[in-house]
Amino acid sequence: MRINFNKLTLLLLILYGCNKDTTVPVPTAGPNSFINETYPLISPSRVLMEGVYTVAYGPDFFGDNVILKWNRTGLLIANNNGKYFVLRVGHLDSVIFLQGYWRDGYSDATGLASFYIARDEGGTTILTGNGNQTIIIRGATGIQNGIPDQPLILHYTRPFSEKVKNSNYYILSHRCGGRTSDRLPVSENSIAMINYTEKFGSTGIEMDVRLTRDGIPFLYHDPDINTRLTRKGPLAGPIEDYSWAQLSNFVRLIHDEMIPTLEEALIFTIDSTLLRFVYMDMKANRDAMAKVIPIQQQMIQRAKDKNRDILIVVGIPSTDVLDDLMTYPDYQNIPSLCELTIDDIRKVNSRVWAPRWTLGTQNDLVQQMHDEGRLAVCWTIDNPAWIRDYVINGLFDGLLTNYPYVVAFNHYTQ
Amino acid sequence: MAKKLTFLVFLFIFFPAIMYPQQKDSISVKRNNHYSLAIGLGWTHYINTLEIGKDNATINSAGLSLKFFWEPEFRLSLGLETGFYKLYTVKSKTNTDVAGQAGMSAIPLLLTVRMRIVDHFYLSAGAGLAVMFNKVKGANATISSTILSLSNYQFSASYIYPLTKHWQVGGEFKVLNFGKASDWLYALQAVCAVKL
Repeated sequence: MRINFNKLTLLLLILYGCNKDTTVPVPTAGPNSFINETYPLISPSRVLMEGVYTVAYGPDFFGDNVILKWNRTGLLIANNNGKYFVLRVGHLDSVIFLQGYWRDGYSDATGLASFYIARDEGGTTILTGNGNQTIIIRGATGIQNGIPDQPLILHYTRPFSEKVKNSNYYILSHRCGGRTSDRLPVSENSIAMINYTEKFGSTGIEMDVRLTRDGIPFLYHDPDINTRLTRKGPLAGPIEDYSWAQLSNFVRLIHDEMIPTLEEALIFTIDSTLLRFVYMDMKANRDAMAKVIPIQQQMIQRAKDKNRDILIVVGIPSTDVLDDLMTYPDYQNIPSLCELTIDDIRKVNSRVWAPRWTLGTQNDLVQQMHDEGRLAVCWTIDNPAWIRDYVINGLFDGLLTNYPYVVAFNHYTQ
Repeated sequence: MAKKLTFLVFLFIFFPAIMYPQQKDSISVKRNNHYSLAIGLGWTHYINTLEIGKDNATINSAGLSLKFFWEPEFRLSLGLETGFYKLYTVKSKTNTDVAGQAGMSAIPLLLTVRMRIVDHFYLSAGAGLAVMFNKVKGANATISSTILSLSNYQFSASYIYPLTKHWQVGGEFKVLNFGKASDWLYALQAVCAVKL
């Protein structure tokens, strides 16, 4: 028998090719980056920078327009097809420096990015608040950790519209801010992701709630422990079969974070972020409301005590969960988000209606919800063209997505 | 009509031609085509790719294999292989009373092709399914989970020496991969086989 080594090599390549890397490394300029030598911008200066910019010069794939929006930790620049920049900003003298990385959310493309705003091209205006708001951002992008050498120039076009500035639109990110399958630098449903997601433009999050065998609500999406979401460890099978002690001893998320309890995640969200919406998606197999609602109540009180404007709702994705909620005393006063019918929403007096995006914009029903004093958000919409359609033509108060920067672009350019 | 006639002619010619070789020959001939059953028992070593609990894992254990082969007169044999392999046991370092220990074992069912390279020396490769058993003890309970692993394979090299017409003994070195969580182990086994 002759062994066909070409076919054998091909087979081995296919087998090896099935091993997927779990992350796209975030390019970094290193600890000696000059951005560490700069001074932070004060809030009014930040507001002056925000707006819609034209791509005056640069690679085609960055598109024609971008938005520039500050968040808790830095600056987001996003375009309409999933390219975004996560940037740190500081100034020296009257020059403003922007440094960080860009990433294509729909692929693995990434690279370093480095920009500046010269003093006579907007730097002085931004820092002092005086002068014409003509801002030109000059710089370059690179590929992965390569030195940025592809020029990119952005021209300030206009500020965000009054409609956008005055709206309370929710940009809701899936799985605490992003999916592990999108090869992000932190794990989905982790404290680290809650801390990270504002960089993507998120103003709210969805989190997946399950219950341990000993009744501790925790965050995890899949029904079983697997190497897609966790580092390889000795536990396998249905995750809800295990006690909290076992999970905390033997399981780490894919980027080495601990699985958070619901309580830990909510405390972090309230105390350490500016997120305004938390959607607790009930994935628990067993009756979980009796465990989750007391935590929700405590956290709502905690947010009030800290003067935090944040809506924390329990999700109702199925009639089983609906029935579970209705066994709870005073269930009509429990802030909830219902994915079911309009009648179900009225039955439990949900604050938020959340239909699946495939049902369409349903503007008449959304308007009914608004008339009843309820909110309406749509899940889970990822295609850039559909996102644009729903933001522009829909009446929803927010969208749940895996690509918040795309929603951000379409919302802020209105 | 012509088609029917052609069909009947073919039937008359080929039907006896097909049936005739299946008649028993009156002369006894040496049978080169037989089946064999083999059992292997020995040491297994898990290639420790655990990321959690790696330092607290017991990775050496005993393993058992069972093989059934159809051995025609050619160098190649075709068979089914199963067995029982303990992959690892991990004890909790931080809080033994609460979290206890966790272990993984597997029963593969592989379609195996074996080739005689030189006299008594064989190489084999197999692929198929495996049922994996995860058992966690502690917190006043034992939790058992069964997981189906769809993509598994093995490669082995064996030396089998015939003692009698029917009985053979030897040794085998084998590498097994369980695809569900990319677990690898190798095994060194003493093998006893019988020709049926």
